[in-house]
Amino acid sequence: MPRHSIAVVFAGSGGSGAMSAGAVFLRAAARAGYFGMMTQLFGAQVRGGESAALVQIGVEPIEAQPDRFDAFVALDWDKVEQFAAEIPLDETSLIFADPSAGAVPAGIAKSKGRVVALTMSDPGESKIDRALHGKRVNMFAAGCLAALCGLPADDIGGAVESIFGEKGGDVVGANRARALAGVQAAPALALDLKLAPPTHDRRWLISGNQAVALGALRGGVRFVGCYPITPATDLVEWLAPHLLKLGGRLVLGEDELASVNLALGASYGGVPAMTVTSGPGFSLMVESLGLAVAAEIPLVVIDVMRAGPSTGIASKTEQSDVNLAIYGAHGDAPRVVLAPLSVGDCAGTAEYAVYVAEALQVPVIVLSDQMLGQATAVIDPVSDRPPPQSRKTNGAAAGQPFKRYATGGDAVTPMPLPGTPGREWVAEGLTHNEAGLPASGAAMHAAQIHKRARKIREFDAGDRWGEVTGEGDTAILAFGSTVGPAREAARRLAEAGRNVRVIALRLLAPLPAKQLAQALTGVRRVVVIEQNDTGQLYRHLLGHKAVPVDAESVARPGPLPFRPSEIVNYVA
Amino acid sequence: MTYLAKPKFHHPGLPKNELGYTHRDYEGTVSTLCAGCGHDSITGAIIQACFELAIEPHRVAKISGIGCSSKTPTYFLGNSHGFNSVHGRMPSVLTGANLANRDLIYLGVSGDGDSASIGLGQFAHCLRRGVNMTYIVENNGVYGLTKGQFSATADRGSKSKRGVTNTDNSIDMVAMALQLGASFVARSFSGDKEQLVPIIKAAIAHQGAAFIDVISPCVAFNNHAGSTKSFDFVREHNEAVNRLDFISTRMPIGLQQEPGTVEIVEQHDGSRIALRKLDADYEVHDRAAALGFLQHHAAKGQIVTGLLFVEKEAQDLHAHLDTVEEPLNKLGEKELCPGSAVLGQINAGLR
Ligand SMILES: Cc1ncc(C[n+]2csc(CCOP(=O)(O)OP(=O)(O)O)c2C)c(N)n1
Ligand code: SF4
Ligand SMILES: [Mg+2]
Repeated sequence: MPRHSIAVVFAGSGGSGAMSAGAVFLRAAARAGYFGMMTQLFGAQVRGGESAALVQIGVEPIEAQPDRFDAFVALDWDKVEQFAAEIPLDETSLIFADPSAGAVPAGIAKSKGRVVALTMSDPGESKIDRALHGKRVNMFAAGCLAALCGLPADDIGGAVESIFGEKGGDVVGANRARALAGVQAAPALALDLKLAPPTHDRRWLISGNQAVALGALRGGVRFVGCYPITPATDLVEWLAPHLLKLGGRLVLGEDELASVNLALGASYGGVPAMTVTSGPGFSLMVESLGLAVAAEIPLVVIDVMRAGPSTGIASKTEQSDVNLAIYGAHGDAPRVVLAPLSVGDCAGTAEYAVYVAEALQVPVIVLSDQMLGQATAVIDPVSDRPPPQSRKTNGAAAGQPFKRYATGGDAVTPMPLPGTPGREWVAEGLTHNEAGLPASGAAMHAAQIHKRARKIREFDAGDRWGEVTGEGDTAILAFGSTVGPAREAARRLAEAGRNVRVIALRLLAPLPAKQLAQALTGVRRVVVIEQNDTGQLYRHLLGHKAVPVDAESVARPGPLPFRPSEIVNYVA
Repeated sequence: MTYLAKPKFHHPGLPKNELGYTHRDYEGTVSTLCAGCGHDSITGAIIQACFELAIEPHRVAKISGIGCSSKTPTYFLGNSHGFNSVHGRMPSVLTGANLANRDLIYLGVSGDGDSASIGLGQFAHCLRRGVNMTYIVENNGVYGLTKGQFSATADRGSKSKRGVTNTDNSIDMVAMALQLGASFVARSFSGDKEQLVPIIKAAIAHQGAAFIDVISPCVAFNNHAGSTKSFDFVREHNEAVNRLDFISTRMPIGLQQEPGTVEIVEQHDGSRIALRKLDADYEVHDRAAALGFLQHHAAKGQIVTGLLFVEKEAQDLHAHLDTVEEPLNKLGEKELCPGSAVLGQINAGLR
């Protein structure tokens, strides 16, 4: 019986090309009309170290890491064993290895998976060629596995071309030749890994980080201040050339204190602005979250979360910045916190973040995570729409002095572009009066705090607050990269006759009380799932009485992703 | 309230500049600083400079950090735009604002604590980038607002009024600015309006990173007189309410000095500073010579004042980045997204 999906790992030492193998395999599947997702594992070495590409492809969208892998392809066995804990294999898994690479290490062999001998190197290759370009066993492996899954040779060759295209004809030709050699070697293995026929639609191959960047551009961001940090750097690298093409500016600050304030200054100057970081940088930016709240300046902050605290694990995921995003700052500093629901949703959520920041004149934090950010997925295209920008720059009657921070009427007050005659105002971090002049009286302090609180309170996200899938009186509440596994778990439970609802929360703050209450009608059991040790989201929900007091918390630290089976086991 | 509005009363006989504005149009609210504070003199000089330059107030953005010095933008250019940010972060906010809108005149106002202590990194990087601005540090060697602790510009060996001796070396922001590539570098003294006003005017006119270190005595914390205790007591209790009822009889230190001379100035606490005013024939286009001149006199215990260096053909950050003439915040949908074509291309690239 043809499969609906297959999960394959390509692993090897530095220089073996595991990531390229995964990329070719995934892109070939995308060209053939399948969905897919690829995540990456890296060893401790900074550069050129051992790595593994974890790829799953199938006829339906894939949003979670699989429970187990069907195939493990060893490009070599150098230090690859260290990944064993993060790559679940079992006795039905196939382990592909070149006999010349040596014996299967104990950590992998203990899965009892069947070892398939596959000679991957090119016997005819000259020594010089090999020294120059490596053995290209990676392309052979990718071609072979793709062919075993039933992907057409044309799509495999096309994938090689689009991935190596920039490197010139020689490189493309040599790599394609090895990939097609792999295709030809497939039938002799007599293995049946064929996928069911795909549905052919135009799809995108995109990473979560790229999708955030795309969404921000579509939302109208034209200034970015940032400082490099894993795993957010690739977002900025992808964004930079596109931003420049659109006439925008990117400035690398000397640190995150500068980066966030560069963005804040640019936003004050009238340009939708954003900063991009991860936990350690986000900690430094907290000071200016308060400033953006007090001075009422729109600001988008992207936090691609990684394992913390402190430097933690730079390249691995965790959802442990929830407290900081929602509450980080001294004083009462209400803001908006959003989290994307999937790789594809990174675009829509980032675009929406720009819209909300501009509309409410507040900082909006997008909590992505390494798992979403650095996963590459085949998704349905994000629909095109014009950038929804709506900063209120005029409206109030000109008068002297201009009341930038008027408290009586609409909580969102006009914020004219600096340089507008007759509408001069000072953005002020000190408690100020309506005209923006420093004030320290109790009444004005309260009035301004209430004005800012009201902006947040009156904000209605409508149906963008989150998504509900499934039915049943048990609800799993999740956000970010745990949404995918939660939905997959619910799907499996439904297949087994047990209906479970998944409430995927996009709006973490302010909590959408009304919509959540509606989503929870008829629910008798609530399970809040998150990837941190202290149940940060759970406590936030309980504190706001957004879930019943007997709601359950499933909270554990990263970096291992939640697997659907883990959630099924807990809920069942 | 921590400010007092000034009555809007225009004397018909008040002199007007070429735009028809009076001096009063460049003022802000009544200062709440200690009477005699050097910062108030700098405020006066900024007002005078803008009046004389006939700047349209709405074309100025005054950006500041935190400190007594950073409070002063409330006291000048009341009809201008601005951003009073947080401690030590003025330079990055100013840089961002400038990149968004290159059409405004940016006045960065800061203190020695704000720029040499907490904000030293930001100060350095902002000058290094060559942001087109006038960056004024009102330098009193102490954290005035938090009651007189030494800042990073305090001289080694100097004594605080509490009797503590500063054992750390001081940072000379002028030397740093020269080294960091600022294209206009000057030092002045708050009490010498005749020198300061033209320097500020020249700095505003300068199209590049202009830095002015203004020595500005703090009357409250350079004060070791007998009244110290009660003075402290008033200040201790003052922060919670406001500063208005705090009265000092001290007068600002005034100084009119001939070029090329060395003058010994007695401060309120009785300590002395020696100021060397630059000779009339001083060569202002030689960066290396300026550094040498500065350090040569510093070794003799003299603080050099005047315009130390100005680059003939200064370039600013926009020139480095090759940005278009039109400010980014004025570029509309049409210029930024040519028919959404570029966005369309990006989308297509993902297919
Ligand atoms: C992050 C932070 N730390 C400390 C303070 C307290 N503080 C306010 S002003 C200041 C020093 C100001 O010194 P300076 O810039 O020299 O200004 P002056 O008052 O001397 O003019 C300090 C430490 C603060 N506002 N913010
Ligand atoms: S404390 Fe010093 S710096 Fe602050 S206002 Fe008083 S005299 Fe000026
Ligand atoms: Mg000071």
